[in-house]
Amino acid sequence: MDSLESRLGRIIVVTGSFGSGKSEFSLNLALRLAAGAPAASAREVALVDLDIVNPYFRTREARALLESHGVRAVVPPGDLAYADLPIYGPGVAALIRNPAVRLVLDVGGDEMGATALGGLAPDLEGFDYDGIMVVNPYRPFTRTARAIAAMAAGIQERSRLALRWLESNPNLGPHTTLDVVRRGHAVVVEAARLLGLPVLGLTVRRRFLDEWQVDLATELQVPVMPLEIYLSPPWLEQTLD
Amino acid sequence: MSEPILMKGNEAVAEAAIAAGCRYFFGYPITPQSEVLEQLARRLPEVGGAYVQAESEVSAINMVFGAASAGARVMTASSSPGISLMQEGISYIASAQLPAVLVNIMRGAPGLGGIHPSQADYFQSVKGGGHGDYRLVVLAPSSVQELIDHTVLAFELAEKYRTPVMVFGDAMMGQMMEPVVLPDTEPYPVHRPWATTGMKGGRGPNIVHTLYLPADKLEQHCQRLFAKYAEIERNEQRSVQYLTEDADIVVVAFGIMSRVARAAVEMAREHGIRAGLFRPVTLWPFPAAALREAASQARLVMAAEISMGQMVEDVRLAIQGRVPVTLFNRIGLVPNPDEIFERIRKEAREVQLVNG
Repeated sequence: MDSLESRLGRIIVVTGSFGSGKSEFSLNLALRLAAGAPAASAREVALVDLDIVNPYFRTREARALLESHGVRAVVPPGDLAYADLPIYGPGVAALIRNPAVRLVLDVGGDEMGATALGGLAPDLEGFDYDGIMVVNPYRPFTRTARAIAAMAAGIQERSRLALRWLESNPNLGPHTTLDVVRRGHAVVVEAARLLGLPVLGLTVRRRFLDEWQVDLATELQVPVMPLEIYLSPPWLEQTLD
Repeated sequence: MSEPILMKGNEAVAEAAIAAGCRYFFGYPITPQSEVLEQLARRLPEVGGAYVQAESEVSAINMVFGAASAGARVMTASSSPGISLMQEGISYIASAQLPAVLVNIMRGAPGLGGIHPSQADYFQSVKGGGHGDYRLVVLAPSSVQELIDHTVLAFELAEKYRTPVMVFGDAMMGQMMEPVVLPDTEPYPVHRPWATTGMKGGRGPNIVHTLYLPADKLEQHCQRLFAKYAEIERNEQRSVQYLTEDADIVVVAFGIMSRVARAAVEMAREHGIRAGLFRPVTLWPFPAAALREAASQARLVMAAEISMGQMVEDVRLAIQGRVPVTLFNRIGLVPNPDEIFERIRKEAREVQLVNG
């Protein structure tokens, strides 16, 4: 089976409802792209933090990590990175036009967050891009296939951009089990059917994959992306009763 | 029990309020608690309730005052500067003996501060905040599940004692995501024969007020309030202990800081230092007797807070000078466990619990 990233072009737009895991997914994807073979003419990977909704656990928290792996992190400059202002880093439009840059745009939560992307829609016009909605069916507003489809419609309307893929991210954080992943993934597959979109891949925490030793890619016929958690401190899970 | 789901702290507060029978919410948005409002704006109409975004926090708290007087189970939520604006109303609600739940998802301060996690509103809510002689029950959850459980408990205590109850969180707890199960138990019953629900041609008028012009009436009123507070102090002190039985160093921390402190205590134990954690769950009434007992064998007590040192004063009052009390504190962030562990190790050397 193809790897998840080989299905994607130069410009990748990651969206999803608030708390869907899109920022962790974007980070992991950007790091994988930077570590893998350079695609087409792209010489550099850049991750743009467009999350104007959620002021915490944002891509900008991982700036040092990204830069140490050769990923350019485009975040609001200076003190503004710590603010709850509807702003994003400079030069995004130029990056969209630059054929040497493989671009991951991490767009803020739900329909409101996607409004930020709407501002970029004119810049993206004429460029081919992969719109991905990350879905965790264990989050309150995306628990059923119908709710996921409604969320996708809202995001597309607000952002004025089209989705091409759903990324399945079924998890209950540290309480994730193999059964949780299987049941949740089935909900995402059903949502994808309703929307007429393919499922790009299945995201599962690396430590669970190591523990379970199950070939989910073959079983579920979907590329599996092992995920590392970067935006939440490890002690939080260690002290969860 | 319902199915487990993954929730952010702010969403969890909102859903817990609905599960506890709250149908009315008045508030004003502020980072980092705006999702409480957003969630309730979406959800309350679905369950036959009402959400009103007031023109200010001053207005919101007075709407809470009015709704509680009229018999409604009601809540508001804000973050530090917004809670400051509500203080006058909180004093009125306490004086009028009204059940109401207040949620403070604290942010960096003083002044406009920032949107960082903080615990620096301890003095404000635990020691007063508004004018006059009153007390506020203050609950300090430390996980998203506890935000749910304590929000439900807050409605119960408010109803039982006819008094405002505050739930304390911080920017990190409001925003972090953890697996939770929502309660499916029946809400604590609303029984308010004193409420201003209309005479219906039967009884005399119910009047909710806070004005006592004759001096003796005001004194009697305060005596009645404080008899009730004494009962709350007797019945409602709550705390959790972790490895305190044989602890030489007892760390005292609440809320998110207690999670960090617990990880630090585990690191200390791995290094042969007998450390333990005492976690106040009610900040008022402060579990002073339980702390004194937990620290009876200790050589040192260390308060750990995200403030310049506020709870440490209650720790000192509880310990009564029997054991030295020290403070670990940071501002603007939730520290990592190794910072507290290093401090425990340094203190352990100084009180000669370990060599080197």
